[in-house]
Amino acid sequence: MRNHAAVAGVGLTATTSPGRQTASKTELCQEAVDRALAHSGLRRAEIDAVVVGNIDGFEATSTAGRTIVPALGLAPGTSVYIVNTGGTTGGGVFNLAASLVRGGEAERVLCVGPSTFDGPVDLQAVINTALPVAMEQPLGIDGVHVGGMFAAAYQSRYGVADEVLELCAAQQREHAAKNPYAHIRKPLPPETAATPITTPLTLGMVCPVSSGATAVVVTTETIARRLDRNPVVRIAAYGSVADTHLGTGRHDFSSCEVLALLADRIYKDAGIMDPRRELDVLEIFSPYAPMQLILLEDLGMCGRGEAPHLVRDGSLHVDGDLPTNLSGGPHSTNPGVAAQLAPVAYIALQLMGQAAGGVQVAEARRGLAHSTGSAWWQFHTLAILEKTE
Amino acid sequence: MTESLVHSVNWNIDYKVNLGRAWSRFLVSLRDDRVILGTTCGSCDKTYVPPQAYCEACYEPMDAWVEVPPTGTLEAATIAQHAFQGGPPAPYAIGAIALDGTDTLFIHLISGIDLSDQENARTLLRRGTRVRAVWSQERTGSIRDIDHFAPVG
Repeated sequence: MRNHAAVAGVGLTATTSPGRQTASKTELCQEAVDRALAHSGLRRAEIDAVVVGNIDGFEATSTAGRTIVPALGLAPGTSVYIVNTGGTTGGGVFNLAASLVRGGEAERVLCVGPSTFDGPVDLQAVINTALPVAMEQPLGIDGVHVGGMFAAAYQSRYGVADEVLELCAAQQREHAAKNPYAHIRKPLPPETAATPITTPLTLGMVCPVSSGATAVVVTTETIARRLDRNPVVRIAAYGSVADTHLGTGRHDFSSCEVLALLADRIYKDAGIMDPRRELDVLEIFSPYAPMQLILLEDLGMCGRGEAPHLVRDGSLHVDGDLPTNLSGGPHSTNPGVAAQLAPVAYIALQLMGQAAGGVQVAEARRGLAHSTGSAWWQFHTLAILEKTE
Repeated sequence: MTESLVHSVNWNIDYKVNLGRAWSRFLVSLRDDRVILGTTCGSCDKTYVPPQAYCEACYEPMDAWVEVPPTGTLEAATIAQHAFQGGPPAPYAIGAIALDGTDTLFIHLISGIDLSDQENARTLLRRGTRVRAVWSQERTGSIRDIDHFAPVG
């Protein structure tokens, strides 16, 4: 029988804006790692590999990940892996840790999701460098315009009103209000929220720039059971996928075709026939709130153009039949790689029965964590976690 | 609590990027002939603009070059209200255009309408709007040799 990889512990720091942050990135990572190790019951010296995320261009150094690792107090000779896949770096960190454990390369792996966005004075100017050189960088495209293009395409294809997009934002903020680790925990005043950013997105629909860190400890199911600290959360399936880099290579901006392909693959791996019924809780990566609609459809939770019903009928709340982004998601808290690793951490806490802030889903047994990013949401990662008896 | 210090760090680094054969031919054609070129895959018959050396679906080499008309249909557009360092002055609009005779969506700037009236501009730039390339006076072998696409008719 396969010795599955499992989540042994998670550590999230409080989040704030970079301007209010008094800790350095390294100090934030130390705090997240301390919490994750304490939660898991493992000692630092027992860690045999560390995977750390980094996104080129956001740091005032080209070696950010590597500068953090030596400050974590790990044993000399600990294997170090750096993941650098834009907006899916955090999800990729977790997937690599699961692969190392499954493949027998390591038994106790520390995943580190640093705070990525603290540095750049003009963050969107940095995000523009992720767009294809020569063809798209010169067109003034940054992250928020990618979000705007998808939302506009979805809206026009299915005749979706602005009110639905606003409701996506309001619901996720409502969830964030209960999450002690969230950054924006109060709704913006309506006139501020209505500030146009790039059509159809308004300020209320876009994420803040946040500062904070996330860490997760991945180990074998046998060791997790032996530690006996938390209910054992098995990593049942995981994977990643990439689309074309050029926005111009796409046929459609109202869906992410490659995410649908990835979802089919990992549902099969996890033995899931009906994802809507068999998944108890979701954390999906929608820094621009309306992205949620497209992602839910790509993940097979409803038919094309039907996601607005899920938002309108309350399905996505803690007491709904498809609780989604109960943490508030990256729409309320976006510290970069830390935010991309956070979906895994929040799903693990749900399955351990330890969700903070009164958002515990009753009898949550299986959950899905997603991240996406890079130019035109080129990359996606998914992981399915399961509580084992 | 000690004072929390913040240092400013500035990088100013120049790069040179070889665009390769396919993109060089595409941009030279924009510059010298005001003609949009694409490549067509001999296996799946898809036409790509900008051209690519290999088909992303079949991985067949694409050496069939086709001239594409400077017209197309808007699939989606977003009207940006805020500029960033190095980007165009706001407001500006970015569109995904199905160029006639192609199988890809071409990303470019959309202009030629009053973007300061956002709600009216959104209506004018709705899905299905026909657009045409407007050429730059000064052409340098850049994607901006097409200054923008403008709604027609």
